Amino acid sequence: MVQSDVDTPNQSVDSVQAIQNWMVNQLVEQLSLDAKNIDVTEPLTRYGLDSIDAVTIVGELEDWLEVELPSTLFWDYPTIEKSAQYLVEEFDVSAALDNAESAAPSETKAAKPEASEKSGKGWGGFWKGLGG
Amino acid sequence: MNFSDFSFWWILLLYAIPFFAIRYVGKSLKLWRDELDTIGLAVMSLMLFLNASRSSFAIFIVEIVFNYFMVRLMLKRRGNGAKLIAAIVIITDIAILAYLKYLTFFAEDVVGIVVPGFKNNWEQGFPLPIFQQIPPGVSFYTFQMVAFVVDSLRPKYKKPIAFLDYINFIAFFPQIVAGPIERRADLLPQIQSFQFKFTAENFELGLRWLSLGFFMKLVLADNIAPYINLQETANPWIVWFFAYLFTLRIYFDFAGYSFMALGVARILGVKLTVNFLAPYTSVSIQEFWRRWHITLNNWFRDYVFLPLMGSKKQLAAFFLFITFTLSGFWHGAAWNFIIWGAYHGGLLLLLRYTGRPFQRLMGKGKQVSRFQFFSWALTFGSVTLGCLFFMDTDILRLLSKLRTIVTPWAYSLSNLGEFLSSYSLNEGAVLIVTLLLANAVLFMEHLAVWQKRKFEYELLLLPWVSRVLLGLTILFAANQPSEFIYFEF
Repeated sequence: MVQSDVDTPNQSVDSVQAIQNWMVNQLVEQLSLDAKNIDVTEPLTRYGLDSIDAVTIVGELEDWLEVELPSTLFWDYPTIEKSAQYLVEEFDVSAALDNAESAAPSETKAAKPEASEKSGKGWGGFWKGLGG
Repeated sequence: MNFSDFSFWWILLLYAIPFFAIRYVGKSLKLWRDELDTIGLAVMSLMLFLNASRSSFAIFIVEIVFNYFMVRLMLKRRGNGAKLIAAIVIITDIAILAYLKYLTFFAEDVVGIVVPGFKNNWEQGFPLPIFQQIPPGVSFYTFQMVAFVVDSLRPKYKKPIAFLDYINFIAFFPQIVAGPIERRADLLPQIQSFQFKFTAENFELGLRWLSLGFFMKLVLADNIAPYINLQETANPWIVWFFAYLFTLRIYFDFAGYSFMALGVARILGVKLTVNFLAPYTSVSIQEFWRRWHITLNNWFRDYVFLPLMGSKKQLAAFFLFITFTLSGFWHGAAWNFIIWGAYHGGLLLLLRYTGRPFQRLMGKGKQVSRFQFFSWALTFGSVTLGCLFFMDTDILRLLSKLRTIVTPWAYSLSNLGEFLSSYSLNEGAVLIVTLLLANAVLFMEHLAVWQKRKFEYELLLLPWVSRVLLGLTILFAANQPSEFIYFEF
């Protein structure tokens, strides 16, 4: 069967759902919450998400989805629902999601050092950060 | 601009009547060109700024010409050449801000402490004029200029900008003096395609924002202001009460200003960023800082916190603390503002490193629903305590107040009696009515959040609520408007 380049609506819904689930798991892990108490439409700050979490979760999302994301993602899209929708609409995440489904957890961890290298260091990193 | 100063509205009116009359005739004769709207807006902004502060205006003219031509030069280059120009512009802008705002503080409160006698004599030998207070607007437009330089470094921005558009972007009169600090991506496209379009929708929405802003400033902030006495240090009930009054005042003063700016801009057809999102509904300090002075916090996030941290995410807590301390220092050249910034940075870290283990101890998930009210009260109490640092530039007096509020036996019934009997019947009645109105506004913000409405000010911007607020403003506006607090910063 030939797969279309354009996501069907169902695929988009699945992608949004997959990213939402991932974010819920991250919150559960990072903020010691119970998953059933997390409402994807609530602002993340209501669960105690701070600036440090916001930038670190973006870093982990980058590793998982293999895309470069704005550090201000959770400021611009402050709920799980909004940020997941934004990611699916603005980035090509389908391939990464397919890979992630079959990937072992250890592979995700192994990707981390590589991701931190691309952020740059020293003043070069400073300018890169300013440039967004 | 000082929206509660009659001269602002008079000049606006005296300029607008002939300008729009000529424009109307010009349009009828098909002689009017769109660029004339851009010129009209620039003249309007510069004239109103000149009226607001001559010294600030003179500095502004020098800075805007320098920034414009440097950015123009920067846009023609790429790579390190562009970065070098950006660095020169940013350093110059910040150096001017530091000279105007922090010179006296560094000379008297930093060097003066270390070098005996320096505090009293330094002014005599100093070759440049010394400003005891920063000319209004410099802090805000400097930040907007710096943000513009940095944003313009992005590869997608290579087209030159017209000088008039740059003037209108920086000097747009509703926001130049006290923000919102606008970003290139949000405001510049609106300025570049600017035309006076007085639509019914813009006028209606603008009027609703103006009604809310006027009510917050003229009725709430200005009626609360006279009751705050910084001298009181011995009675903890009074110290807390004045801190509470200041907490209300600073919000209604600055949010009121921001909403007036939003309203005036909207009438002209320009959408400004909403600078506050019901900050006193927050259930954590993290949430508070997402809702308070949003454009300044975003500025510090994008141009200080994130670039400083870079890839060193393991040091994020340290950089967060530094960013908050710097943000405090931006507010004013005095130790109390630095302490205030550090206090908030410290609170964020405290919540992160002690609050979370506490949550784990209490059990997963329970805190979200069960402790909402407790979290809100703790957050509001922490913000109020922070206001105690913010409101008093006299460090010795501030320390005395802090000593008083941590002394358990100072909370005596006699001190409570002294507090309750410190107002006459009329004073007490006015204060109670003002506080009832203030808390009614806060309640409507809470209600919008609880009902999960799309926007925190949805209820306060309902057409009938706006009319009521306007009526109440006419009835209860303070006879003597106080200065906008943020003009000093």
